[in-house]
Amino acid sequence: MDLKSGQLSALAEMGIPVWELRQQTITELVTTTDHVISTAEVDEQLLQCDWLILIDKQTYNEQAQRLLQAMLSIIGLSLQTVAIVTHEQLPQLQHLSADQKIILAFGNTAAQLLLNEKTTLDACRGKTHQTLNSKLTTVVSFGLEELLNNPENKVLAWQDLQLAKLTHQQLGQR
Amino acid sequence: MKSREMEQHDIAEVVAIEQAANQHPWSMKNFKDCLKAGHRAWVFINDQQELIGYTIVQQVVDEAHLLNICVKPSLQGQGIGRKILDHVIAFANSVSSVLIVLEVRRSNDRAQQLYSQAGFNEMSVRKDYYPAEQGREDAILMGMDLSFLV
Repeated sequence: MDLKSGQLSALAEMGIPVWELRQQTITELVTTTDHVISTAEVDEQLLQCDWLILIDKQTYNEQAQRLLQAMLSIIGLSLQTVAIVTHEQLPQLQHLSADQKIILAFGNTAAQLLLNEKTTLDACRGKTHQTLNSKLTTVVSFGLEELLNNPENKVLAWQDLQLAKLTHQQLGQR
Repeated sequence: MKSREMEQHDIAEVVAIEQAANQHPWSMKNFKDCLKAGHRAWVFINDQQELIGYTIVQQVVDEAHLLNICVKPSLQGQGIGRKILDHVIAFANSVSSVLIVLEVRRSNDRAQQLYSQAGFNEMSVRKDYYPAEQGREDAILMGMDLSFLV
């Protein structure tokens, strides 16, 4: 409901805050192209970012993006400082030289694509893995959609983020 | 009033306010542990460069848990608590939190009024959560939904 200026000033005089609907716009996925490419073609952002965030594009909606923003902020990152990679783009990572890069993989499918098609989140959470020919350090956590549907797992996801942060710090000290 | 991140050298002054303002204050170790754990903590300074309040927030994924908020007793009742709370709400919004939660003693009507006026709602009660002068005291769990508001 749009309020007239007279109504707004009356509310202001009474000290009543006026809330406005959030104007949310989902940021377009900043990802690389969808085909297997040669080293020379590897996306510039993948080369520059230390953090690669592996998500399921099918479930990456506005709510999931907000959750991801919140999760990244906990470890001092933002959507602008990471490279978001979808499952389909994993082959591009084979070409990366990645001493200090870390993959934060969200969801069971991501874990299976990176580690083992039969693995489960329970089996691979809470520790780091070397993936993609042992070039990339990987930390696995819950899928964004799964976390939205099961908020009781937030504490465990928070622990995963702390592990990822610590791991990245250790990579930087090598 | 200005704010800045709480630093180790602030803790002695913060603990002095904490002890003056609370019957069951946090210890110095509690504050040190919070900073060590990376929780977000701010102190608030008035025009006389006096530390007049502080707050500590833990981010748990997309929730902001308000762990402590306090105003120097001699300066309470002047709207400083509300300003600090507004700072917390703005921070939570800035990091895309969808919910702010806090616990408050059932007997602390003044704090509950502050939170209610700021838009918090009672979510549940934790029976006998806090130590009290005589026995235990319930905690009121309050929350503010930020998922669709700015």
